Amino acid sequence: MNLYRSRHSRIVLAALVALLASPLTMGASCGSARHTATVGEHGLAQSVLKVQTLVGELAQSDPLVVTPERFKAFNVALVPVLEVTLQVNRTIRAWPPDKPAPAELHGLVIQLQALAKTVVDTFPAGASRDKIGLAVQIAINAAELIVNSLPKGDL
Amino acid sequence: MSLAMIIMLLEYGTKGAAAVADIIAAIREAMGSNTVEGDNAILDEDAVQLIAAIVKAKSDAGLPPAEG
Repeated sequence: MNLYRSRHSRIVLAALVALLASPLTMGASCGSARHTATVGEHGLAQSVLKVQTLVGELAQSDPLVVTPERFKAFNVALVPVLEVTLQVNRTIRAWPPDKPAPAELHGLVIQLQALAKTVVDTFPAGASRDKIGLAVQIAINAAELIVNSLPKGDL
Repeated sequence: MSLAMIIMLLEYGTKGAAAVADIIAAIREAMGSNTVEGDNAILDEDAVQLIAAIVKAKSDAGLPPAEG
């Protein structure tokens, strides 16, 4: 899979990563790791939820690409992404604010990044896949920011 | 509007950019509630939305609805 197919897409993603990363990095240095992880989880969850909404809309507006078979395959791929995102959510929620980061958080995020890419692979190259890929890429970046927000000693 | 958003509007059109803008707005809003209570409220709301999304995705995929 190649989410960076065009030069413009690379520019957009680079700008987006900078847009997201700079305030979150600032948050990591100024606030608690748990808060920064929460912001990352929120970006992750909202991106994954947006992917679900977006594909539902594309199934109506672009039925030649988002066929019923692909829509079903997409949802099969999306279920584990949503379930691991929920595990990330519950892990951060159960994290006592004054304690080190939960050990399992890093592994969950790594697992999530691999699963998220399978979601995009259910669609052929084209404008619809690019839109889905962008939202998935934001989810992956948000997941990375969760890991990057953790103190090195907590990993 | 940031430069990144202008580029997105040009590249992906209004619909795609609007989806991205929603995500960014949600992240920025979450950044502002820097208390444990505020963070927990965000996490709880996300959990509710994720559980509903799992139910819908399983239904759309033709999978059994029970959560593991």
